[in-house]
Order: sequence, then structure tokens, then C-alpha cells
Amino acid sequence: MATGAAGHKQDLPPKGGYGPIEYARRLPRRGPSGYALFALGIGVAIYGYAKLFATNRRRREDWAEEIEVQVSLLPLHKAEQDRLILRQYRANLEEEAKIMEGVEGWVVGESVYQNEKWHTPPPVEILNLRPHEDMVRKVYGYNYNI
Amino acid sequence: MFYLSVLHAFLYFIPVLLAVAFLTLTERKIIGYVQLRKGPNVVGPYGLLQPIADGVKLFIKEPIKPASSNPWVFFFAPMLALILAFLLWMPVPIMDAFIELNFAVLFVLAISSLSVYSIMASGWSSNSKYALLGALRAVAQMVSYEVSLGLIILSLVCLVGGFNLSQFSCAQEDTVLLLSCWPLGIMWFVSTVAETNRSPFDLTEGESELVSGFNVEYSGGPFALFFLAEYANILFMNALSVVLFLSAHFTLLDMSFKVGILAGLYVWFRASYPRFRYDQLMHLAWKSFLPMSLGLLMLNFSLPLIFSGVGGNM
Repeated sequence: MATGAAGHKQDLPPKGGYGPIEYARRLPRRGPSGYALFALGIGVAIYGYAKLFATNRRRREDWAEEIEVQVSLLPLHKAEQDRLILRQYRANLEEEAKIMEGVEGWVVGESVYQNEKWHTPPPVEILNLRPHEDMVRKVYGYNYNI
Repeated sequence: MFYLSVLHAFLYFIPVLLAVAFLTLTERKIIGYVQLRKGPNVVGPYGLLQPIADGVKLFIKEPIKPASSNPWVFFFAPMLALILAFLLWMPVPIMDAFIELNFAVLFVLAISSLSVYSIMASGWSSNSKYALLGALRAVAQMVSYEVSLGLIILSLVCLVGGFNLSQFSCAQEDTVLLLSCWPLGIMWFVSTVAETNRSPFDLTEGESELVSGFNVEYSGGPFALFFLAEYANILFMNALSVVLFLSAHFTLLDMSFKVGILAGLYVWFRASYPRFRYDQLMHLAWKSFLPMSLGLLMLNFSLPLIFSGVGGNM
């Protein structure tokens, strides 16, 4: 067994110990700072909200205009409806006269009510001689509000 | 007329099915190239016919019916899944919605909540531990993320002023909602990834624990139905994200371009991210997204009132 060779030097730490080990992660700073990103995000959101609300205001104006158009067209629409009803009513009366030709004491178009007041015939009555589809469309027509 | 309306329905579904088929191919190709290999490239030119070959293979195979399963529920669960996935597509305004609903947002939320039942039914009726646990995980996850989806969508409804999906397009004529609501947009996108049980939130099919999740016992045609439903849901969620946040202007090209980008992100996520832990998943839903979306709901409810920016009907 070789013992105590001359000039042997024990491996020891340097005088005063090793320097501190750098174990903390060191990454280069990249990109804008957190505050800048935060400000950018808020700024984008504010811009988006401003544009969105401007669009919404315009949409509300459009909607108000649409309603006004519908309101101003209402009399015309009602008049056209009345005209259609009356034309169909006359056609119904003519048909009734044809059907009930030989019946004694039948008055064509006699009111079923006691008074003289005009009653707009309901769609079921006015469209009775039309194809069934027309009446269904009139009575159960597409409901735009659902 | 009746034949025309039937044809109309098919004209609506077949593009969805085709998109689903080629989404699966795209996904396999992209993941293949991410992993430095070629995806499917044998069937047809560049493997383009692979999804058709897959579909044909799945549908001509015998669907195995486990002896211990509950046969009726087992049989009908995949159909329910696919029917619900198609039903979800109906009010989406791609050019023109198949059914024009003024409360389309509510319809979408209701039907997507129902799709939980198909998963629960399939997992329970399989009578297998893995399927049951997978279904339980899927159901818990989907229910949790539906909460944040609902709250985010409610914020948007406050801003837009209506539940009609085409109103969202009108409100985003000048800008996209993603600008004003980008925190909501990020949360929404992550929630849709979790809602469709996609990676990195695909805990329902943790292969190491659960083999393949709620559909372990399914094979052949029924499995294909689940698969189609899953991918139809993914595409639907992307379409909905585009309608809600990215201003779909009714043109098919615009819409499909944006949906394609989002679907690409889904695939990218799947190729890149490791799976979440289950408690992290639940914490993300209940401790981050829920408080954040609730707070932003208050903001988005009050801001239009303060700045007189409530949306109109047009």
C-alpha cells in the first residue's frame, strides 16, 4: 500500500470558500413590459367598446326609422286589407246567390245579428270558399315575433 | 314540396359531414407533420380519401353489443349524440340559418346542455368501469364549463342587445366583439376546447387510466356516430365562436376561413400541450373563469347603459 507520497496535495476548497452559486434563472427581458401590455389591452378594449356602442346607436336609429316607416304605412296597409276583404266578401255573396238560387225566402247576405252594425267577417268565414291553404296561412300565419 | 324540404335538410347536413370528415384528415396530417412523420398518405392522392375509407370500414364492421349492457340505452345513445350535434347546427347563420330563431342563443345553450345526456347514457349503459368513469368525468367537465360559456354569452347578449345570432353579425359590422371583449374571447375559446373534451382537456379519454373513455365499448357504426358527433360539435363551437366574436358577415368564405383558423388552433393545441390534471381543470373553471366572467358580466351589463350603447333590433 503506497502511503504518503511526497508533494501530495489534498483537494480542498479555495481560501474563503467557493463563491456563491448562481442558481437563479437569468432570462433576457423580451418584449414590452407588463404595464405596457396591460395598457395596450385596456386601450384595445376601450377602442372596441367605443366602436361597438357607436354601431349600436346607429342600429337603434335604424330600428326607430323602421318602426316609423311601418307606422306611417299602417293606414295604407289597413285600407288594402279592407279592400281585399270586401272583394272576397262580394265574391262570397255571388257564390251564395248561385248556391241558394231555388230556396224560398232566402235573403242573400242577410246578417246573422240583430243590429245593423257592420261586422268584419273573420278569416274563417271570408276565406271559406278559397283553398284551405289560404285560410291556414291567414289564421296560423308565420309569427315573426317568436 | 315535401321532397324539396327533405333535400334542403340534406343540403344542410352533408356539408357538415364532409367538413367533419376532412377535419379528421387535416388533424391527422397536421399532427403527423408536427411529430415529424407523414400522416395518412396511402388511400387516394395524398391520402385524401382516408376519411371515406375510415367511414366505410367503421360502418361495415359488426357493432359489438356487450352482453351486460343495457341494450336500448346503449343503442340509442350514439344516435342521440349525432342528432343533437346536427340540431345544434340549425340556427347557425352561415349565409342563412336553416331555422331563423330570435332566441337562437338560448336554443344553442339548451341543446348543447342536452348533449351531456348522450355521454352519460352511453357511459352508464355500457356497464363498464372505464366507460362509466369516463362518462362521469366528461359530464362533470362539460357541466362545469357550460357555466362559464353561458355567462360569457350573457355578457355578449348584454352588449349586442338580443339573443338572435344574426343580430351579432349586425352589431359587429364596424368592429369585432373580440376587440372589446378579448378577455371574454380568450376564456370563451378555452372553455369551448374544454366543453368539447379536446386536448389538453381530454381527461375523459385518459388512455393510461380509462382506455378510451365513455365510448370504450362502442365499435363499428355506433362508434363512428360518436366520432362524427364529437367533431361536428368541435366545428359547431368554432362556428359559434366566429359568429359571437369574430364578426361572421354571412359570406361563406369569410366564415369558413375563420372557422378553419380556429379549428387549426384546436389541432395545434392537441399537438402541443400535455393533458391537464383533473383538479387543475376544475379550478380553472370554477376559480378563474367563473369569477372573471361574472365580473365582466357586471361590466358589460352596465357599460352600454352608462354610454347609451344598448343595441337595437337591427
